[in-house]
Amino acid sequence: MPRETAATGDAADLALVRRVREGEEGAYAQLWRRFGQPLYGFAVSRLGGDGELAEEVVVHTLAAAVSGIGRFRPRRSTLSAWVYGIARRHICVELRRRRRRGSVPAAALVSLKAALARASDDPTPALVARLEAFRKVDAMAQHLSDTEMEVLLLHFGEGLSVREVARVIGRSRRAADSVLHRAKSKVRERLVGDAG
Amino acid sequence: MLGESQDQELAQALSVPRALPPAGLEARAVAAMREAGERRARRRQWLLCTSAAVAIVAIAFGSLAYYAANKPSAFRRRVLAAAEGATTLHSWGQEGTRDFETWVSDDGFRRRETRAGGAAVALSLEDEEGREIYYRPGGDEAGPLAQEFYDPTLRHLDSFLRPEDSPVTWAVWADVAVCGSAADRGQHQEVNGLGELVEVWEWECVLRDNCHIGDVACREGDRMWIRAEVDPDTGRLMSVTRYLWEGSWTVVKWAEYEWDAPIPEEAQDFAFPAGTAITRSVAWADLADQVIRTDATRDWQVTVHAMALNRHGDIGLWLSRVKTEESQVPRRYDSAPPLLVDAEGSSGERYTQSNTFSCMNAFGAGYWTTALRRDDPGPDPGTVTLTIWPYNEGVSEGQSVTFGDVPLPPREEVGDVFEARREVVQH
Repeated sequence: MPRETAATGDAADLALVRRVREGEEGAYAQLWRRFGQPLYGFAVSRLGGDGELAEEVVVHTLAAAVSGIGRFRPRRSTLSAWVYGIARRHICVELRRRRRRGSVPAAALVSLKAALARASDDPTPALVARLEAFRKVDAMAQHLSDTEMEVLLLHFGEGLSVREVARVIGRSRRAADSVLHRAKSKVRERLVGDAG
Repeated sequence: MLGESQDQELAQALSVPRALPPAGLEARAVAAMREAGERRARRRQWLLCTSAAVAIVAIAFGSLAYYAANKPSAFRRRVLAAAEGATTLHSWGQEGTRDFETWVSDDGFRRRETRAGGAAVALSLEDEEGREIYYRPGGDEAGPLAQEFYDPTLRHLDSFLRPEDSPVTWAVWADVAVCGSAADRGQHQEVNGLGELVEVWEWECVLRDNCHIGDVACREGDRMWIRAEVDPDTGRLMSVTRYLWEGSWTVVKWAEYEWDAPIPEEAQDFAFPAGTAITRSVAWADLADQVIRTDATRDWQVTVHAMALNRHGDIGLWLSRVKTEESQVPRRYDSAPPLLVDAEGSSGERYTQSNTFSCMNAFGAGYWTTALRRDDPGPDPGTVTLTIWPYNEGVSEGQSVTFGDVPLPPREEVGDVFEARREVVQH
């Protein structure tokens, strides 16, 4: 579940920030372990399944985080919110580029449908669970705005608090809470509708 | 799915299908982080003393007078906050009749190129080490110019930037600065020509000073209307258009922005055309680290970095003034007054200050060269006493430091000790 505060996690993050600032070799691997997988998952989800583009986003995000670590301010943001904020900006640029080009990269079309097809070939219990989860996410995405889906992903998928989500998307906590509430209502309406 | 149970189900649904990173991504990411970390370390080493801000502002505007105290603060806060954490800013557009393209990175790299009718007009490049080059191929109005120099004012970034500022945020700051009594014309959202929903911020101002935008001369009292488009999701600047009132509103500058795009390799360096004669003025690269004497007034730390005597016994001084932490000099861009220097030899020899030049100034800080001409010919004194007024204006008026018994170096067989430290190399 999302955390409102995580004192121990924050302390570990601050220690990590110090190590990155001092340029400790092992700090980069630790930063990867802390953020690599979740960032990739987040980027894939936001980029419609485009894994190649998500890889670029992850690499650029982590490099930008190291490069700009001197500007991270613990009083203003958690490390998670700061890093996801960087990732989100990279993703927004990519999404804008796509819109300007007026086309969706072919790789993005692989997306969930291909994943569903692959999962269906080998229905182990774990994959069945993933398949069901994919279906739910896919169904949600059809009925939510970009921002609503993004807020759901950050809050429920990535475990960021509402305050952190607000920081990532550049809105007030109240506004982020409102978007989250609206998204949850839509999901509930949709699921109730489906059940009916 | 209601309340807690809905939350749990959502958390499960949104976290379970998380894609796993492909093999090899970890190695790529760690390598990229290591590279970024090494760049950062190099930058920090140099940034103990460095800044690109003034050069950025000066080059972006061609005139420091283009800034004024009145600015659309809500707008600035929004776009500057959104610029934090950006790695690069790529902008392009037109100013006057000239096209321009600029790359700025958070590690201090900056490149700006202007063209007119497809032909290069000027190119400037600053790297994170403080080296700056400027190239103008020349044309009908001006001859060719090729320079390489070192800007020591870049050593004081931390003294005047907010902690979260970077060269990228400064580039944005420069592009949204206004120049006089600005009046807010409001903010709204609209769908632009690309079908994107954008925030539009507009304001109008009356220019406080004469200035140039590209090749357009603007005069004090001219009316300017500025319109900026901002990404409503990210708060990042998308475009800025400036209009000048000439009976009707005429576009004098427009710029579009791309964020976090990788800087193309071909843009990262510049090779002067073969046969170009390049003037190199890099003396400050070494001299800025030297200290002969240093002392502080309340507002200013004053340092004598180097001294040289020409064949006539005139003294050449390399000096700097940087604000102290207790400084009460306001933070603003202005044409900063030169340092005043009084010199007297150990046997009563008198000198007259002349030919004072500064590197670019940041909030009054600066590195200066000044010549002290010997009033009467004669043998050189062994030592000299220097009294320096670092900024003899405003709240700093009357503040001075005195360095007694500063030993003089032997004469050099040159007429101009500053010119002697420039070299012209043929590329």
